[in-house]
Amino acid sequence: MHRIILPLARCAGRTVVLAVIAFAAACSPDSTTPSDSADLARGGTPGPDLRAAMAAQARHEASIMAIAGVEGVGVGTTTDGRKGALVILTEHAAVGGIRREFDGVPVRLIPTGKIIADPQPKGGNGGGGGGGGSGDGAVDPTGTFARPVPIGVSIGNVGSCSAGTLGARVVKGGQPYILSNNHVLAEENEAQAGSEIIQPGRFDTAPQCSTPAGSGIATLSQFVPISFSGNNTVDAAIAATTAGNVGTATFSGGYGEPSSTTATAAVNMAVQKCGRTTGCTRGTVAAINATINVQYTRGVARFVNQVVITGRRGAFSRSGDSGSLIVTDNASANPVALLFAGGQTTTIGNPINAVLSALNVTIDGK
Amino acid sequence: MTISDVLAAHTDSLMRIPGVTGVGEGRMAGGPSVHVLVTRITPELRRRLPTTLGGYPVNVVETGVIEAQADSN
Repeated sequence: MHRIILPLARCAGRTVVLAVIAFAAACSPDSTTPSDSADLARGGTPGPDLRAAMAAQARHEASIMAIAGVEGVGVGTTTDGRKGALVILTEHAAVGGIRREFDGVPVRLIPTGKIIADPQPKGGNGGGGGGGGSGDGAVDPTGTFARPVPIGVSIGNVGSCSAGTLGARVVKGGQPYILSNNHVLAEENEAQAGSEIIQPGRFDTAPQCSTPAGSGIATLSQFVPISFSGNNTVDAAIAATTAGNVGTATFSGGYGEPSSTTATAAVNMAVQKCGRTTGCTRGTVAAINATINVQYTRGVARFVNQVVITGRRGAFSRSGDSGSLIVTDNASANPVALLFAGGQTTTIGNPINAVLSALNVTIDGK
Repeated sequence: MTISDVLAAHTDSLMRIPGVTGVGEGRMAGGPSVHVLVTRITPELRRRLPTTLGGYPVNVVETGVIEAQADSN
């Protein structure tokens, strides 16, 4: 169990309060207090009462942490951002015995699964073939990987301090490309064609936000623009690469090479993915043909015909898993969707056939 | 009406309800259902959301805000 390790590392928008408190060292330091930042983020209206939440945390943390399945306790806001809340991280959604409020402060439960002990960016690990060496044999997808890098690992556009996931290698006109999201490779429509894609993304470099020499693995080729006024179907982009820079299979412990034959999502279908933040996880399709409003840095965008997934054990994805290829949970690993968004316990993916046809590519797989 | 017809007829009005972030086709009790994602289940939403639509059960699921999932600084 760990104290206040909140899994939200985004430093803009709705999660700013959590981020300022939990990642004060990682986010650009400024002189504003958490309340000030929240006020700024929400356009100057009165901020959530974080003092009461902090007081409640101080009084009740020990007894909350004693509950089996509780992974962390912190101070944040309610999901609408209006009130201070006691944020309780649980191993899975079914952890019981937790009150809904303490001293009048509402509780926000976030099932996170097991939290890793060290949330800090990794130091240089020499680019060894296994990627980030965490010492226990498990591959850390946020690490620096030897070329050709596997799929499922941290990448980003060199123009921003961010990290998403390398979804798959795809083919167009006989040439290899990286497939991921527009908001990972192309900065929500802002990046220039030809800009460099690096591994890991700058959110995961050491020191954080630096750009180590030789980290480029691809250049942005094409993206499907995200519309913030009309309907979208995909959040997708490709970057030109080489077989020497990017491989076709996941890191060890993952599903390996995806099939080049796609599958159409169906409710209750078992799926899996390997991604930068939560690694390789399993889930179930909860809904299809879904219309979803998604919060981006630049605003809310509506997506139609989407695939909704819930995790089998804990969250299927978290921030940083964007771009992961979602495949069937069997030996053939047929691509089903491209992961791009999620909530506390829910993941949203674009149907993969729409992604591939929008970019006129095929999956480079078995 | 098929579940697709029901979604086509009701998705826009459901999405206009504050707190609703998504509407899709799910499955409940062995048959199709209307799957509604909400940031938080509130008494107001419970009152405004129907329990069935076109004969299909409505399944309301609390998800928090749905966000694009890149980590950024």
